[in-house]
Amino acid sequence: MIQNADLFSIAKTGINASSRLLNTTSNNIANINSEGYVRERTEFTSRLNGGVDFGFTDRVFDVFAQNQLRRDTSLVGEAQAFYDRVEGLDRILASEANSISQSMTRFFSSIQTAADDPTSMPARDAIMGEAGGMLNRVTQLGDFIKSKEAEAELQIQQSVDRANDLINQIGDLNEAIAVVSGSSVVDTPSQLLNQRDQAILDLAEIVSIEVRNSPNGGSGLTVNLTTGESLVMADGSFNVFAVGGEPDFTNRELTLRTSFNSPTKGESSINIREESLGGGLGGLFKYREQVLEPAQRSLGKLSIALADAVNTQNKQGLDYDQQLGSNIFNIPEFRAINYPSNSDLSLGVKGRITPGSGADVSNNDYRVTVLNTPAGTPPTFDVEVAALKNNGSPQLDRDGNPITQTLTISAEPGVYNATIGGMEIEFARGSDYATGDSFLLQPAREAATSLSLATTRAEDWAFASPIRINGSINNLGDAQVTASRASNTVVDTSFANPNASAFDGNGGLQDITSSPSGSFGAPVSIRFTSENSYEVLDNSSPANVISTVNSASDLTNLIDQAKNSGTPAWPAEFSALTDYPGYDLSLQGRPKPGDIFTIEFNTNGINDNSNAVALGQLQQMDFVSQSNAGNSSRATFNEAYSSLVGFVGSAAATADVNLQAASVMQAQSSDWFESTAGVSLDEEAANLIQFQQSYAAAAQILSSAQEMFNTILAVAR
Amino acid sequence: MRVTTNLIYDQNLRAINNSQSSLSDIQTQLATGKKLLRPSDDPVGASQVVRLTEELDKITQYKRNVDLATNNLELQETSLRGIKDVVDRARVLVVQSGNGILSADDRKALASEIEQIRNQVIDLMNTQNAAGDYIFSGYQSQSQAFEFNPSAQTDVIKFNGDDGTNDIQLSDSVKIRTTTSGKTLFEDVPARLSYSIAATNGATLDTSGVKNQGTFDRFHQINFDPVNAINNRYEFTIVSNTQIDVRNAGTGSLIESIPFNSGVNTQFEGIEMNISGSVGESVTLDLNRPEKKNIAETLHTMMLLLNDSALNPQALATGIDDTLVGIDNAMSQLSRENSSIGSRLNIAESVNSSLLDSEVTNERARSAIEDVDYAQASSDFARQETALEAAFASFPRIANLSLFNFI
Repeated sequence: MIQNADLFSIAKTGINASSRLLNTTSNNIANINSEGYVRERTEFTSRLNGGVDFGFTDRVFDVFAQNQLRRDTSLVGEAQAFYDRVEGLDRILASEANSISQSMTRFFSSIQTAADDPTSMPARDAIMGEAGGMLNRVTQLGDFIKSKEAEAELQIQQSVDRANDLINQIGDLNEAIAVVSGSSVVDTPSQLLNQRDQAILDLAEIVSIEVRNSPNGGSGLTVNLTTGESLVMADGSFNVFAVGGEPDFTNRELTLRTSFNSPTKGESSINIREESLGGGLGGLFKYREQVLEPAQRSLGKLSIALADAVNTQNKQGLDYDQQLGSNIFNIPEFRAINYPSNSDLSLGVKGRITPGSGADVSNNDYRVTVLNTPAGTPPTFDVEVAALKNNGSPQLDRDGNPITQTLTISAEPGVYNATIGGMEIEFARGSDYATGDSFLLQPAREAATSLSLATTRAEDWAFASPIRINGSINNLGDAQVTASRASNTVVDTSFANPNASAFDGNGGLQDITSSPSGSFGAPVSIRFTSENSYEVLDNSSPANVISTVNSASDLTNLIDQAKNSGTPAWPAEFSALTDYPGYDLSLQGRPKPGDIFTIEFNTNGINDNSNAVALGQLQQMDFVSQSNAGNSSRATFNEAYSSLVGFVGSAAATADVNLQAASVMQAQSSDWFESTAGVSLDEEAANLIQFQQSYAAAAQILSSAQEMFNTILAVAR
Repeated sequence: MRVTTNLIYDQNLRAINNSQSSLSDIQTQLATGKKLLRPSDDPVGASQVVRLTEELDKITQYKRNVDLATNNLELQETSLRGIKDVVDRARVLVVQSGNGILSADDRKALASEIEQIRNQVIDLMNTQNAAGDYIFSGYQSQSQAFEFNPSAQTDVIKFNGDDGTNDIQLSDSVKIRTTTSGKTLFEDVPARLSYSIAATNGATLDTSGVKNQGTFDRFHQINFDPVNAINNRYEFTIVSNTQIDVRNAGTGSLIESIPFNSGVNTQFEGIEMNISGSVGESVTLDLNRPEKKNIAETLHTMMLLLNDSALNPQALATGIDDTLVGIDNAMSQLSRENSSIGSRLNIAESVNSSLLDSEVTNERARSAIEDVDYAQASSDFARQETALEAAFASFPRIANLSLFNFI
């Protein structure tokens, strides 16, 4: 090796080197609290002809630890976002005061108390109060969930904006680093690099990403989503997230849109699967799709089922004003959402829950598609109704097949066509609908927030049965009435409604002039001709025999038996209606020939509590559908609510465990990264002393060189 | 592993944070007494707690229902007992009135006491509960159950209600009837079964009467045809000096041939008749349709009879028979209802005790899930507290160690 550098230059390089080392060390010490700072080290090699070469300052870190930290940060971001949101729901369900279960129990309790004393007005007022209170609880919880939904949408928007900022920033930094890298050979643009790494780490918290070196070589980094779509590309251009929602614009969905900003390349957009996003955004979407929307729909389903059950039972009774019972709760209608590809976006479809079908309502959304062009007057056409999950994918039944129904619609204003899922839909615009038009119906979504009381009058509670059965005092047998029930009280004296019953709407039962059949009035009495044969009579005088039953096997549901096996056959006009006359009775005991039992309207029968007892029994009955896949398992109201609580609770518990696990992992990888990249003050302190000494030593060379030079000069003089 | 300055601070802070949050959780548990603060603490348990709470609230309501049902039934029992007591006294008076040596004034005195008893019975039949509802009116509890109109020709006592009854739910599966309609209880009382003589064709009927009511009742119940009146007519034709043939007028069939002796009493199915006549002559007899008579009406009729000065002994005897049978039938109806009330009260009591048992069981189950075990929680708290104190104490000692202090 040839060493022919002179002492001066060696000393100079030595001083420079030590000076640089001191510089680096001081930089490390000063920046110990800077976020994202990675410690730097300067490395020197010796020069061929003596002295120290320029050296290279570089950051010290373990790239594997860094990647691991990014992955774990994504996991924590996802778990944290999910947990924070779910915890809010969990907390609200924990509060006793909000407990819907308690208010439901109090409601039914108040009904039972009133059933014990049906004429007491204070007891009826109490029920109205409890019903209002229960409705408040439900709508409050519904509103809370709705506001959480809006909040989640806002947060998605915010996260998307932040992610876009970061993506832009990374792209800019890539360019800047490329420029600066070229301009210096002694160090890397460490500040820019740290900034870029910090931006990448922040982005990793929002979405799950993978970072690679640019394929062009050089200092650029490309950033992809873990699912493969690229965010920051090699040539500095990038994709940004866009938020839209189809068809429900309030439900945001993500796409990636390019922003080449180039005259030659056109922009394009890619759909992304939100559930595999990871990071905070992924957590938000998972929360919305797996917890928030199902919880919202379960609550809606429960409130529909409860309101419908109470309404139906109340309509089977007689209220304090001696009128047939009416609706207590108002289950509002819902409007369909147009798919953007529809021919005319001003077309609408309205839906409502079919009265009496509250138990068929599930959590599903429904897409209704027009299959052929409307024809005829009134216009009719076929539609397909398909059940969807809340994320838009088809709901499958037990066998894995999509749940669909094809039916023919009569498209007129005011005509509601019944479909699966307990709802009925109205196509009001007749022939304006075109083939291929699709509409999205979400019956259970808004139900909890928009339920209301249809009446506040305590007299509207129908506790009595609308009919009463009187055994004639002259009866010689010992038959007693065991059951009398009214199953249908729909009043329509024109019989245009196929559900019309025998109640004339005026405090009585139909006679021969007002019944659908011209030859008979409504059946109002049973006359026994022997112990097990009887005639069904109307209320004309003399009474017409509508039908006779011979050798009845038992005395239950006497009118039904006459419908099915009476001679002559039950009048066709009666059978044409779905449930006419809408009441029935059962006896037990042994009647003697000549015994008569009369059915009459329960005028002044205000002490009758039979419908009140039935209303109280609703608490025990299974009215809430438990499955979206179409099987018929049902649960009581309280069971449905407790399974909602359990669902949210276990989601929160799982989220908590996931968060803790992810936090531990992140702590570990952070420690690992920190152990190579972090500044240790003690180490830097030792370095300071070391480099001070080497600086002093190098400076000493200079003075030695100077002394040598002086010595030579002194010799030459 | 290389330990950096930031690492030391981070790790210590993390440990302190964790410790503080655990401590805070335990403290909340101790303060609220519940270890189930949010559904996420125990999701399955939270769901069970919701259901158990509903059960317990239902049991509270059912206990209230049991109390109410018991009150209703006891009120009815009291009324019925009151009626039974006075009617027993009336029976004694009626039997007494059959004594031959009584004068018209004596009978009038008995009549006035029976009148008082009649009024008491009507009052009790119109019992009202605390809310002013008539308990025996069926569903029409605002209208007075029984109306007494002494000047009416028929139906001196009129029932204004209906035969509706109410049930009360005592538990998920047990419902008992808590009211009775006055119609079933008081109106639906059979009067004495009797017959009437339709015609005498040539023969003479001196006396006739029901000698053996039980035998006659049995015959009547088996053979009465509610639809075809002609089947209730029996012809007693004298076929010879020693025999009467009894035929059913509707079917024409021979029922029985009874021994006959003109002018001497002869018996047929509990009826004793004294017929005199010759061969070919007959007597026609109709079975009367069974009637129902209210107990107050029975007493009223008896009273009118006793007040009548021109009373013939035969009419009095028949009247007493009618009244005694009427009273006995009414009493048996009441005692049937009384025992039904008694059994329903028993059911209510047994349901009540099983409700209490369920309540205790459910409370215990709920407490096991949601209540905190103070012993466990206190020791956890103490342990966590120690850990936190140790973390606090050790932190400054590490933090102060730095090479810079020595340079």
